[in-house]
This record gives sequence, C-alpha cells and structure tokens, in this order.
Amino acid sequence: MSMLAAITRHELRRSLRDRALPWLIILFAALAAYGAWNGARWAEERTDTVQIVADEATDGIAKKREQFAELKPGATPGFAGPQFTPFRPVLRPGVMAPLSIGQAEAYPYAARVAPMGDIRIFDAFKVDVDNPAVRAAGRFDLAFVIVFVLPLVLMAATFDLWSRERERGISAMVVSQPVSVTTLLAGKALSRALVLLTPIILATLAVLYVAGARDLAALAAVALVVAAYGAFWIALASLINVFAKRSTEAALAGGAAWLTIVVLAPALILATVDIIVPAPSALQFTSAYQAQSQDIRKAQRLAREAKGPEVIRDPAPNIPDRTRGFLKDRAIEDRTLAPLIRRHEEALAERRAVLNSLRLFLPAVATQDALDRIAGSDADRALSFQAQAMAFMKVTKDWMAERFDRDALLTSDDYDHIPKFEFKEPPAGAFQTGVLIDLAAILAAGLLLAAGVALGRRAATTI
Amino acid sequence: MLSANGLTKTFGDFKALDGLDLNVGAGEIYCLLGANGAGKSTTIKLFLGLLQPTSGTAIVNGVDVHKDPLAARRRLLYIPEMVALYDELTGLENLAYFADLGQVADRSPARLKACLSEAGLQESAFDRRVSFYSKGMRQKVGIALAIAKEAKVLLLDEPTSGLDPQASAEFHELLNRQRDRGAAILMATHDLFRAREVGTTIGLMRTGKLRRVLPAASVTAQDLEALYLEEMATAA
Repeated sequence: MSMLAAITRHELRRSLRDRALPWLIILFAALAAYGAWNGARWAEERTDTVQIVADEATDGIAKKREQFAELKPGATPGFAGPQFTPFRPVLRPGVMAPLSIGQAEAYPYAARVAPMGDIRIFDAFKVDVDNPAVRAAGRFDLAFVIVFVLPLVLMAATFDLWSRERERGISAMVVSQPVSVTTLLAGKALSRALVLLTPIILATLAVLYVAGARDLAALAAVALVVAAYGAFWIALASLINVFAKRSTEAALAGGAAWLTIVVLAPALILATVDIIVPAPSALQFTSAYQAQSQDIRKAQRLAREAKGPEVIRDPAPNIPDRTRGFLKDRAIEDRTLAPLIRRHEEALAERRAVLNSLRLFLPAVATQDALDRIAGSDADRALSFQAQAMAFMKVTKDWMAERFDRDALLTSDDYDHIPKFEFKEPPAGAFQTGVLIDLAAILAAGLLLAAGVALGRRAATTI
Repeated sequence: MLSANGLTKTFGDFKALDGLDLNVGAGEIYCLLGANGAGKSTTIKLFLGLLQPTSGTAIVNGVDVHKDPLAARRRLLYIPEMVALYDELTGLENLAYFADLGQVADRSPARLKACLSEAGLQESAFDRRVSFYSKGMRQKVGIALAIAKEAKVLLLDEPTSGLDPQASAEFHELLNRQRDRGAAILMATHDLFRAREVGTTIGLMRTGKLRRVLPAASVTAQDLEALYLEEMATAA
C-alpha cells in the first residue's frame, strides 16, 4: 500500500508539472459550460412549450366557468356534458434537464385526453432533424461532452501513461526495482484519475449548478457516472500502455479505441438490432388501426341506422341516450382494437429490451443512458408518461361513465373536483435501478480492463 | 551473490543464451565482453527477472530471480547504458522516487543528498531538473541509488558507452568503491581496456555462450584484445 502511495505521490508531482493538463481541463470545462448552457436553453424552451399546453386546459376550464357565470338561473347548457371537459396531461422537463436532452425529443411530452376520444391522445411533435450533425451525434449538451469529449480529453492526458517512459528508457530503471508492474500501473492510473477527474467532475457539477440543475442527489449521481466512465477510459489507457512500446502506437490505439467504443460499436450494434429485431412500422400500425377503427365505426353506424330513429325518453335525460350509446360504441371499439395495440407495443418493448440489455456491453451507451435517466430525458420516463397518460384516460372515462350513470351534468363548482393528471417520477430518482445498472456495467467494463492489465503485465516490463 | 546455472534463453529457434554458468562473488567485478548479439544484455535481463529463462536458474543474493523477482531486486541495482530519468523532476526528486521504489530504509532528504554527494554529483545540481544533466551526471544519480540501496549486486549494461574519458574514469572509480564495499558487479561492456582495468574476472561471450573466463589480472590489455579478436574471428 505504501508503494502504491509512493507511486501515486510521484505521479501527482509529475502531473502537476505537466503544462498540457491544465489546458485540457480548461477545454473540457469550456465545452461542458457550453453544453450545459445549450441544455438549459432547451429545457427552458421545453418548459415554456409544456406550459402553453397546460395553460390550454386551464384556459378551457376558465372559459367554461365564465360561460356558467353568464347563464340565466335554471338554464341547462349543452357544454356542461362531462364529455366536453378538456384534459391535457403534460411531461415537464426534470430538474436535471440541462444535463441531457437525450431521448426527450423522440417521445411526446403532451397528451390531449378527450373522454370520448380514441387512444391517439398524444400530440404530434417535431424533432429538429434538419441539422445533419444533430442527427449523427445528438444535441451538443453536457451529456454529449461527457460521452464523446471526456474520453478524448482523458486519452490525450493518459495515452502515454507508461509508453513514454518505455520510449525514453526510464522504464528500465523502474522495472529493475522491487515493484510489481501491476502496482506501478495502478499508481499511475490512480494519480491521473485524481488529477484529471477531480477538476473535471467539479467543473461538470459547477456548470450544471449554474445551469439550474441543482438536485443534490442527482448531482452526486452525475459525479459517480463521470467518475466511473472516466475510470473506464483511464483503465483502457493503462491496458494500451501495457502493450504499446511507443507513444505514437499508444496514441493511435487510443484514437482507434475511442472511435470504436464511442462511435462505431453503438452504431454497429444498432444496425444489428435493426436486422435481428426490427422496429415495428409506425406507418403500418397507424394504417391498420385506422382501417380497423373505420370498419368498427361503420358497423356501429349501420347498426344504429338499422334500429331506426332515436326514441327520446320522457322525461328527457340531461345527457342524451345517443351520447351514452356513443360512449358504449367507443368502449367496444377500444376492446376490439386492444389486441392490435398490444401486439405493436409488445414488438416495441421487445426491441427496447434487446437494446436495453446490449447497452450493458457498451460503456459509452451505458453512460449516455445513465445521464439521460438522471436528467429525466430517457425513454423509460417518456414511456412512463405515456403509460400514465393512458391510465389517466381510463380514469377520465370511468369518471365520465359514472356521471353518465348518474345523468349528472357538470357545474362550475365541479371543475374543482375533476380528475387531475400528475406525473409520477420513477422511484429513487437519480439513483433509480436503471442508473445503478448502468453504473455497474461501466464499472464492470473498467474492472475487466484492469484484469487485462494484470494479466498482460509481463508485456509491460519489456525494455 | 550472483550466479547462473545452465541459464538458457531461446526466442523461437534463436538461442540468445546457451547454458550460461557464471558466478560473481562479493567484491568482484565480472566484465562480460562480446559483440552485439552475444547474449550480454539477455544475461542481464534474465538476472533482472525481465525475461523468463527457457531453462536454468539465475540466483541473486540467494534468491531464485524467477521464483521471487521482487525479493531478488531488493538489493540489486541496474544501470543501463543511458540512465534515463524523469526530466521534469530534479536529481534529488528522481533519487527520492527510485529510493521509494527500491524500498530504501533511510529515505530522508539528508541521507539522499549524502548519497548524491558520495556519487560525486555537485550539490548545486541536486535541485536542478535532470533535463539539464549530462549523461555522466545521470549515471551518478544511478550510482547514488546504489549507495542508498546499499545494493549487494550491480548489473551494468554498457554503462560508460558515450561518456567522455574523464567521466568514464570517474564512473569506474565509483564502481571500484562499490566493489570495495563488497558489492558483486556484473558489467556488460565493449570497452576491453576498461574491463581489464576495473574487472576482477572477464568473460568472453559469443553467440549466447560464455567462451572464455579469465582473471583480469592474468592478461595484459594486448593479450585481451588479441583473444577478443580471435573469438570474434571464429564467429565470422
């Protein structure tokens, strides 16, 4: 242990005299600040957009109350039917949204729940796909800086962890001392990790704090993810240095590793998954849904017509029987279409499960996933919103059915008690299971590399 | 202190060292002479435990190097042809680091400075970065480490190659002091005359084999040169 401490101390002293390191850290901090600013700007825009949607429902209700106020005593307005109540479930950006835009642009963030409408409740949304750079690498947010730029910074600072000494002949003096190469490389890696990751993590947390992402638990989770991902890259640099005898070899190997791990492997894996478990066609699903829906509605219309003209009860109910019939028809339609929807969702879920498990073998993807989850811009949160919005739609339908059963029209005061949508965040917040799994995957990859260093140690003693 | 018994190293079909038997006792300087590729450096690397022998054993201070290389290196010092040090650190800082690695008992700055002085380094150079050091000054840091470690075994690989005559003479003087202290020294060199001058035993190597072993005092410089050339001519 004292040997490890001695090596670490020595390497710290050397690192602190390295003139390039401060510039690398400044470069990272500058890019991180820009990324966080970009993320904050996006979060602000999204928050404003969501607020406009939410205000739409609030304004709708306020308008109804005004209409009630204008009614003459004893009047029964048509708009008091519960089926005309506006509901607008929305998914607001999380507190840590400036960290990562992630998958947030690929999923809807608002729904329009009409109690008598069909399941197509989510607002059409537009992703900025005009910019090819955005399409290729996503937004330039802080997560992008961490996943793509951080490895380059770390590689630039550690690619010659041991190869430089081999190149300059210092290794001969070092390996002839009673110290194991494993301890030596561990000490070197540890000192570089301290010198590089400490300011990098602090810079990351500082820019996030300034950008408004101030959840302490989430900031701790970000620090852990950056530390784990950074440790992975330093372990990789150590492994490269076991075998590279020249700094140029080590630099080339480091560059190739970055390209493979950050760019090529995720793209290749995605392409492979596309072949093995292709994404179900949204177009085909929509077409099939519409065709089946039209058939059902046509059959229902024909059945109504076959019954002849509607007989109005005496006394006439507040809510017409025709409307009740319409609600029943919708329930039948929902039940009939359910298997089609279920098959589509199962196909999507199967593909997501494959992608989710493969991320564990890709440290860059696991890191992006962890940051997305902490930021609340991950697919699971978006899907959870969809599921919660769908569940809320059922709540509104049940609420409406109950009023139909009671033949109860809405009053102005009822608007204080209508169902309200409130998005439930995943339990455990920033330390949710997905983040812990990602962290475990990144750490396991780092440990695997460390084991490679230990196994290949003999190659590092070649002088 | 230092012995090789049937030490053999092959790289594929190439036999770099072929059944080397060698003993270097305390207070002895054993000079290995031979052309490039004769097996001198391979011998040293095997004693350092940086290569695995194909067969045979290498013993340092009674420790089988390949069974416990760390224990074998504890009281051993290796000085390569060019003592490369950390340029961004001072001579004293370099010595302190290598003393840490070498598990030197007394690593106090005072002791390390005393070692540098004993090795002949000027005091004004202690706190200067070694990027300003000459080759001779770097070799002195190496010797200072030997002093600090109280090394019982010194392995030197062409240590005076490229040194000017004065620096070379100073280095050999330091070596003699280590010998007098009881260190066993194995030195690979091309310098026949210095070998005869400082060595107690001279071994002539060719194609991985130790061809001749001579007490240094028993041959004149001219005889040694003649023998060396004769061996090399046989090789050709």
